[in-house]
Amino acid sequence: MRHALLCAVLALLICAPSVRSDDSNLLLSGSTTLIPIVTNAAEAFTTRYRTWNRFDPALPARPIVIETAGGGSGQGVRAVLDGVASAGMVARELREQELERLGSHQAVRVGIDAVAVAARSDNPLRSQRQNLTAAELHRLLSGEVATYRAFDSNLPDREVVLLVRDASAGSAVMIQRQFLGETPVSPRALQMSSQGQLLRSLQGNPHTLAYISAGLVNAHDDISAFAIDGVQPSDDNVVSGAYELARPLLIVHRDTPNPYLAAFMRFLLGPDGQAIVADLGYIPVSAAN
Amino acid sequence: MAQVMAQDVRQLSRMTLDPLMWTASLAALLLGVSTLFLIIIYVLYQASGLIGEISLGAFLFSEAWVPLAEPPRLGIMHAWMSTLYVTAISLLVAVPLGVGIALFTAELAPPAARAVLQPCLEVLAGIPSVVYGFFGFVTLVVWFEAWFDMTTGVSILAAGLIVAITVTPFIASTATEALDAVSAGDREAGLSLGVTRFYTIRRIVLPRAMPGIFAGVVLGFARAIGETLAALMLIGNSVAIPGSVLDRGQTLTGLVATELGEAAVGTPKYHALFAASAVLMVLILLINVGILLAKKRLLRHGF
Amino acid sequence: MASNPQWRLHQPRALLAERLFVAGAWIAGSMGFLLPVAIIGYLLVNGIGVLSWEFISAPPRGYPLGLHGGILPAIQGSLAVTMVALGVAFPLAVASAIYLAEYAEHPRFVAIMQFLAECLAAVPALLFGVLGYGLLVVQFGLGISALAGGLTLAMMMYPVILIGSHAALQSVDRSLRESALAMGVSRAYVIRRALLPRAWPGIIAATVLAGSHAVGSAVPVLFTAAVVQTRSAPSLDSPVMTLPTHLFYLVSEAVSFEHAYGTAFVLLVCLLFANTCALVLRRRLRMRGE
Repeated sequence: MRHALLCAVLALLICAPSVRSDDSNLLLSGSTTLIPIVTNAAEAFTTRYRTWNRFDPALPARPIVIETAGGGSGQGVRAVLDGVASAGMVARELREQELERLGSHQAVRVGIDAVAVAARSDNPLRSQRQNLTAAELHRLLSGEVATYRAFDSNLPDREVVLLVRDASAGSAVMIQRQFLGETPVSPRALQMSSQGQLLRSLQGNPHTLAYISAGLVNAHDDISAFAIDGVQPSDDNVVSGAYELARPLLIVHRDTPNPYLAAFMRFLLGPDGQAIVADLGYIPVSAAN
Repeated sequence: MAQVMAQDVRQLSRMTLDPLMWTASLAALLLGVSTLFLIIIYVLYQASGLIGEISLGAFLFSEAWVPLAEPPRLGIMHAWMSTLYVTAISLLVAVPLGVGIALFTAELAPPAARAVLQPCLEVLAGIPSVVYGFFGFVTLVVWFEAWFDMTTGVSILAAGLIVAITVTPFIASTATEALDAVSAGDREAGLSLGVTRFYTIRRIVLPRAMPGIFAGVVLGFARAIGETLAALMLIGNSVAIPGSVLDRGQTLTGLVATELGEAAVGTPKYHALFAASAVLMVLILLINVGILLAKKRLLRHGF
Repeated sequence: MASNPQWRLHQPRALLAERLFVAGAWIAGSMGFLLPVAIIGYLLVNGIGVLSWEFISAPPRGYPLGLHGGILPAIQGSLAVTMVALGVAFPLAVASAIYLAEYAEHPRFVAIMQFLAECLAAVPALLFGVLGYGLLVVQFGLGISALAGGLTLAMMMYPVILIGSHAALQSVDRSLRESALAMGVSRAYVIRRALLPRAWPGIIAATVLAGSHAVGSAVPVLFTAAVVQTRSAPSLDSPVMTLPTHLFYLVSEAVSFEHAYGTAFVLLVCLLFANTCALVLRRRLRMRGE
């Protein structure tokens, strides 16, 4: 019995690399911001068409399998470089180093995510102010003011609880560049490992202040966004470029995508896919063009 | 005739099967154990890219972890300090508790209690790290918020306490073994002198079992610094240098697990994360050498 | 207890210390019992309400994903990954243990190997995950797959099974193998017919424990095998969902604590089942030894 088992395992080990040629199974890996978009789109795509040939008769009659994995935008690029995923999901502009390493590639924009500075509607600051200036944000984010009282003497003497993403997350990079420059983010800030956790903490505590995907702010009534220097993070302002805190949602892949990925991208960029993007609170690229 | 043939077959099988099994089992052993070297070499190789980017002193003792700055600042002091805090808290709780459980099991427990306690500890040791993290998240973190009026209950203390629970069974079972190994003769000699059981244990049993207990504590130490998810989910993931146990922090393992996905290959940050893993690896190896030495002493005492 | 005549020989202080010691040890002992009971009880009580046929028979659904539906792909994936890990680690580790216990001639070699195995057992799961990604997923081209995850877990399980099996083999009576060898049969024959049957329960018990650890470990799988969502039946070359990584996703993305309780419940039931098996096997080993 044991010998049989051993043989079976050895056989598996030898055969395994050779079975991996089936590229009709798509794996998209990377940013957790894009996971809901891609999973929902994949879900809709799979339930509607089931096999590839029903979407595009040129493709074989294989069942549609689309899988998503997290890990962050960096992991998305890495997965493409290492060849372990069909495409990477990246929720920021590609960095120079990454462009260099990727060589010839395509980065397809499937949506835009504005980053909003937000708080609960009963937050002491939010209930008095709808607008923050860049300079004020610098003071808040750098930890220069620790309490709401220190920020404005009319406000209660409670700690400003900053919620931030880990320094490498797409939104963190943008905030850093836009408001902080060389100044590090406040050391007292709570680092959240995901948007979901950040949202939950933001909803749970009236004294928190956070930057978060505008899509999530729109989807939840109990939190609201600040205008920055008088500009609301509305779709129009983001598309026109008036609201600068926005990042592209990219699907990155090697130069010529395999036909299956190309088919899925057509769906994602088509009206059905873009409706999913809009449903989740992000700005569809159709609006931007 | 048949008998002769059977003998032949047996002889043949002795000639072929034995060397075959010898070779196969040796090959299996070498293959399996070589993974240790594989890990060490891989981690060191990936970490070596950091040489020239930053000095060892700056890497270990500079205060800032700002990998996206230009040039990146890659100090991991906050991480090893958090690891130190978490480990210290967990050992402060787990050592008395674990050794207490061991003393109870080895010296006092009625056989029935012993029979119940052992599987209980095994279950405790077997609960997955991610389940511990979740458990801490829905209990300790919530309680801390209520007790200490904290804005968020995630803290080094919460992580340390949960890690303490994860290492207690290891300390308890190793210490129980060490106490069991002390001969009954020594024990009775003590008791026959007319001293109390506590005195016997303190003066005779514990000193003899000490190397074994020490090995258990060190094993717990290794577990605690290697713990990833349970700590990651409870510690708050902050890159500031922790000032107190109610602060947020980020352990070495947490640093690597959080940031590796975001690090582009070949960047100093990527190498720095492997260097942090290398620090972890070196610690683990040193700890194991410590356990080996403790065991050697135990053997010498035993003879 | 206080009627024990030895106690009267001593001053009240010694008596007090003795009492404190006994009380402390009983408290610690009861903590050792109460902690696992409380933790498991808490999770089971909260988890059982979530459990339904749908929860264990449907894939996760809803937005964010995992809010509704079930965890079937995670159960399948965990099974697949663990099977691969067991299939690789078990034969390798048992063969290694046989070499150490029966063939190795130099005690020093055995000691060194044992030391290395213990080091390996102490390596944090995270580093196995990192190695698994760098080596198996990328270098060997296995991709993010059940195979890569299973092999990574196999590396983790190997030292645990090795150490347990070695101990089980060593505990078999020496005289048995010597008398058998004296009869002129081959060592391989002795191992197969005399030693393994007696060491079997111990070996299986170690394997079951190592397996239950593998089922529960998230970090190594996170890097090498896990996806957030999948619809295909698990196969070796495709990525899988697993119970611990799904639990981690549900908690860290704050998707649904209810489903997190349910997932933890299923994981714990697996663990308790494995532990009961190991316990029964070990009992049997002890009975046979007597």
